[in-house]
Amino acid sequence: MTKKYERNTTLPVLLLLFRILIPLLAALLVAVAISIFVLFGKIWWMGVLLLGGAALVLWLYFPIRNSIWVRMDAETEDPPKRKGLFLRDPNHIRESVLDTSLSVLNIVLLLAGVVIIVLPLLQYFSLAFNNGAFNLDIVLVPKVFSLKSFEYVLFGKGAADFWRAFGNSVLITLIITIGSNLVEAMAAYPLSKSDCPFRSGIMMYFIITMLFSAGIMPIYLLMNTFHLIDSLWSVVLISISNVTHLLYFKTFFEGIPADIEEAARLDGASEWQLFFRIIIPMSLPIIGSCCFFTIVGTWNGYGSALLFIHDSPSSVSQMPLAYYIYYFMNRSLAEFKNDGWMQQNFENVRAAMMILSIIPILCMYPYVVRYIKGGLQIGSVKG
Amino acid sequence: MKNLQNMSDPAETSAGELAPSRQAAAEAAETGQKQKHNGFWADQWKRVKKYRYVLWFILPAALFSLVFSYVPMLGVLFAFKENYTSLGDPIWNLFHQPWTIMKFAEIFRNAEIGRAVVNTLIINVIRLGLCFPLSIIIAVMLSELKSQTFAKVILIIITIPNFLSWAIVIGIWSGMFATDFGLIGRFTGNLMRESSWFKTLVIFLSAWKGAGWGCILYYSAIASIDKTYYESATLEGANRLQKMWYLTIPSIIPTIALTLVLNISGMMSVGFEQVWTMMKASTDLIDSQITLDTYIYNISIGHGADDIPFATAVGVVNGAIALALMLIGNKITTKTLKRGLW
Repeated sequence: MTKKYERNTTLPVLLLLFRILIPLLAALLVAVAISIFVLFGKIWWMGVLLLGGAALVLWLYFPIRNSIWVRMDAETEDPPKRKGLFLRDPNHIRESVLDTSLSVLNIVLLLAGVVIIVLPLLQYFSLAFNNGAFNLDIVLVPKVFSLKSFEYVLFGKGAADFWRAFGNSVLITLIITIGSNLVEAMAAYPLSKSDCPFRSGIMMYFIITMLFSAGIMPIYLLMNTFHLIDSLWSVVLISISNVTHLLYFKTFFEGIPADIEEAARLDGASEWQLFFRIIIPMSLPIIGSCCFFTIVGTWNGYGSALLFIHDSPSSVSQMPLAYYIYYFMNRSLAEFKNDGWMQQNFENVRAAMMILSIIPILCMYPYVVRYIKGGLQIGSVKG
Repeated sequence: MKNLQNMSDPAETSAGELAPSRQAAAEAAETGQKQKHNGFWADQWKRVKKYRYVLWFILPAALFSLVFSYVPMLGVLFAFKENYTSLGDPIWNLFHQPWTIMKFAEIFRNAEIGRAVVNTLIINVIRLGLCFPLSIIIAVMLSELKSQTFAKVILIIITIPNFLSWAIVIGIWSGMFATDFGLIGRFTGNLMRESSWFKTLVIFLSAWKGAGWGCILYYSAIASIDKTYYESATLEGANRLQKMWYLTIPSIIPTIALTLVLNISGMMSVGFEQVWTMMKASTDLIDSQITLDTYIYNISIGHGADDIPFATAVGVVNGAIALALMLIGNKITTKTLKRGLW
């Protein structure tokens, strides 16, 4: 049964009424009510007019809407989608008042959370781009736009230290990321075989290091014995071992079908080639996310640097960037006694330095969002 | 009836015993090996020969673990010395100085440690009560949004602080609290320098930095719930709060439990970088607001570092408590969730 197409002449009129005249009427009533209040100062008159107007509008609204629905359904077999504020689908399951108010509250609270996150960041950005003389006038936007602080960090008096720290950070991030993940992936490969000799024993050997540590004193004494105190290499060496990533790699390698390895062996691949040409390319998702976490952790972390490198001017050349920022943050203004400009712009220079140090991670962020998702999936996999 | 049941039990167990050996036989047949009972060591030796090229791959990781985890564990011995100096030959020092166990007794007599433990526990318990549910609540709120694109945009914004180092986070907030130009500080004064606000700010800053990142885990867990459950719940007449409470929360209970256990096992540590940097940012807090991390750092490497055996003893006891918490947590998860932490 297909309905005939009938042109309904009343529908356009009803739609006109519904979409234009009723809102206009409502707006007019509100305007009159407000102007009565403003002109004559009678709040009761306004209340009566508003309530009466609302009743009038609703009295017109429902019958017109219903007749529009009826006519729309009659017009075509496949009624047009009724989107829009006032033309909801009659078959649509309505939300209760509770549900609607909940979703409004939800959005409001989430936006408040976003404001709490963004506001301090925004203030710091404007501080970095501001001129120190006008710091008091900052309200989220820099009062005077100036790049002087950035210029000071990059090319000013202390620039050599900053660049040195930046280079140190790049260096140790590269070494730790490649070294740690390569070493752990290599160890995970034989351990992923179900018939690896002494498998549970070797796993226990690694897991114990994750569970128990004798505190920082023995590690400090060990580094002292190696003469690695106040040296960047202590930070590198202590970060290579990462058993959590070993567990991730092992779980992933167990999922690679054995047939692939057999096929490669039949084609004459050595174990070395098998690992670097087959296994590593197949596990790029997991290696990518582990590398990303190592990069972020190394770039931002300075816990081990706090242990092994003194925050004194003599060991500045060995500091990674995050630790240098910590060191610079705690310098007192007294050190810049003879530098009037620095006296005024100390806060701005600190802000500029921090913003410069975020840039590498920020540049990486869009490219690794998918890896973050992968990394969270591995987080829930049993090691 | 009882007899019958008793009769059936041994039959079942014998079948259960048979199954693994059959499986092993099948595996042996597949790999083309004869099923011989050569004993454990012969079996392992055969496997070593099979994997003789690949086993070397373990060596670098094993060496790093040995030198930087197991050798420091030997340092536990320092805790049993009366006096120890890092000068000179450490091995000679170790065997030519008197042994004692009194350093461990000293821990319980030390008032400063008591204060540090109390501070640490206060911060961690409040953080567990407030920040831990916060991530779950944010994740549920995000998943309740109609537009999931909007939810993802919010998610990306609130994870930004996780990618800042603690020095930067504390720098940013001391900017907020600065008395002259800070958005908050110009009304309240510099709260970061006030001792009474220290714990509150530690908790607040760790929430500011970590809550967004923590909620990604729950958000992806909620996203993987089957949508048809929600549809049938709607047809049954459940409203939004009911769907949240009876459907969303129970579905992510395993994730919640796992994170909870991990949090509890970190109970003895506040996060050294954060607390140390916050203390440095306000010089007068060192005494009353000391936590376990900063106390151990102070007596090991900081200004008060003159008693190496005592510092080692404190570190060892702390490590042992952390280990115990971890093992208890693992036991709980294996019992309730049928899977361990590792």
